[in-house]
Amino acid sequence: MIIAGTGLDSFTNPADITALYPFPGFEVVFVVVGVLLLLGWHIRQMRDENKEYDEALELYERVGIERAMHFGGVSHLSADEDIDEVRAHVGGPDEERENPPA
Amino acid sequence: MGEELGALNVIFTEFYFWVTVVMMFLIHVGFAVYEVGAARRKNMQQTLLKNIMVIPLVTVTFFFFGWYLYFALPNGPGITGGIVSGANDIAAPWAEAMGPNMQDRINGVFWAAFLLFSWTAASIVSGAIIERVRLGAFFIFAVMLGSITWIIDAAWGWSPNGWMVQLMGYHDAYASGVIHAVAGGTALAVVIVLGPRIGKFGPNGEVREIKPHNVWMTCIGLLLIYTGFWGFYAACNIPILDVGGESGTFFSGTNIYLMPTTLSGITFNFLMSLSGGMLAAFIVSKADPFWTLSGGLAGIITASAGNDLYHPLQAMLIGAAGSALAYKLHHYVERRFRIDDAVGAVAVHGYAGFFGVVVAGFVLWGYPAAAPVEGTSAWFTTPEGFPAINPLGNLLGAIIMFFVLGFLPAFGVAKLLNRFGLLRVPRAVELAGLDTHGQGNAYPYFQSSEAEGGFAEVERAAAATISHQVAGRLDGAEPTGSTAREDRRVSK
Repeated sequence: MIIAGTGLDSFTNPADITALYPFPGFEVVFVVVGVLLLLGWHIRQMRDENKEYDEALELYERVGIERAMHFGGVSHLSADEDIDEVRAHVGGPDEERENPPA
Repeated sequence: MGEELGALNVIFTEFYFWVTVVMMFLIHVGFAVYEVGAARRKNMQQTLLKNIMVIPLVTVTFFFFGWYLYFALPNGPGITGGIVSGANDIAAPWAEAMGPNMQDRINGVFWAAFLLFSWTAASIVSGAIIERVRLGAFFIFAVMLGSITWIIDAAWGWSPNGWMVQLMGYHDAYASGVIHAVAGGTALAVVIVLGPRIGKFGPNGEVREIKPHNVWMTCIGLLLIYTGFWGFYAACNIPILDVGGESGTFFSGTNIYLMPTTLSGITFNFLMSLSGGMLAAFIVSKADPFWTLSGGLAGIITASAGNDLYHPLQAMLIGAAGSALAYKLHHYVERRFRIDDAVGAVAVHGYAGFFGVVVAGFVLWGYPAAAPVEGTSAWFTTPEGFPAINPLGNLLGAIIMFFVLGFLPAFGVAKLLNRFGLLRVPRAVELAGLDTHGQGNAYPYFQSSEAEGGFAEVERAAAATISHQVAGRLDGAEPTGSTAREDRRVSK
């Protein structure tokens, strides 16, 4: 039974074959789709980055930048009790531990 | 492909370039290792992300338009002709030759070889701007340099038909200018607009050393770049071509301009220029391992413009001079203009590349640059009418590479991004570390002096100015350079 295909159905005469890939003739469509996806990727990346920094600054505002520097990573801090834990266990210089910033 | 010897030649050439591509991958591995090593612990993962995302972004854009630009624009902006119409059949992203095709055996591997050069160009910029640039901003620079500006300069000055070659006699066999100077110029523009890392310069302009978190990684990274550089040199040659002309058939390797050279000759020169660069850098840097290895790289880069033809001892001396110049200029520019190039990329690639192109114009004065193209009259010619290599052509060429195609577009884009606050991360994020709020600690099981308070005093002081305040509100105490959109918004 002969079936419908997407490109080639024989390699018998290789000298006559050009494109080997399926759906030849649709290359411009592939390019348009690819360019749109890439542009979308860049826009998404910029938006995510802006959001990421907004959240980071909000977090540092709550825990204090010096504590964030000491802790060396605060990505898992999501709840206030987590932040309190950082304040309790990590802290900053001794004098600041005694008088933590509001 | 019906004749056995011809088929063997074609398939050998296909395989030859394929092998160079695999070898050149090591350049990228080297850049990643080197830059991550140079970054402080708090910035390692964001630094790595820059290097690894160059791969997909530059690859895809180089497929879409980079490769096309190389074939379409050798005549420059109307200088020796218009856009080459045949470029569509070879390199437009919708061309049948841009995919598996039984009638083509070279396009993909040749495309990949140039693509790896593109990754390298983008990675050169990456190192200079670590620890404070936004990822999204870097991605734009990577695409601009990797898939637009460097490949335009390659069409102009790194193609036998390029207008700079045909008109000016420009010669740059292993890309001192077309990759290194253009990337160095781009990096310089970005670091100027971006500004220094917090704490790099003191209040009186004194330079503070920000040490790599792992000096061994930086050195191993540089050695890996050396390794990949072998593949780059081979990739710049055509392995088998009849260069006999009217005198009869004579097969040889050629440089990218299809002028004769040999793999043997460039092997001499690669190693001798590397050695000259290392010897000089060892002395001028007072045996600093990072700069000794960087100096080796600068040595190769300086001699590369003429390493197809130099004597090995010429290559060694030129490499040594370029290496010493790069080291001295890096520190002079850093002190004088307070420019923070974190890894010396502008010097090692930009200044050394520029210098190497200029030197080649003098040392190779009068050599044929390429076979002449009908209808173009070169400024200077050989007795046989070939465009001749000359000092003026190479000096102007170096300026075009570094300033016109390297510095200017990058400066414009950096200014634009800065205008929208999208160039640099917020100060608080920079201080805490680019990894800190996201990926977290890269060495979670090590209790380092850094985590316990080993941050530079200056960072601690800067942190004190913004802690207890709304994050980002710097009250006029912000360091020089670009300002993030978040910092601007809060301060309004």
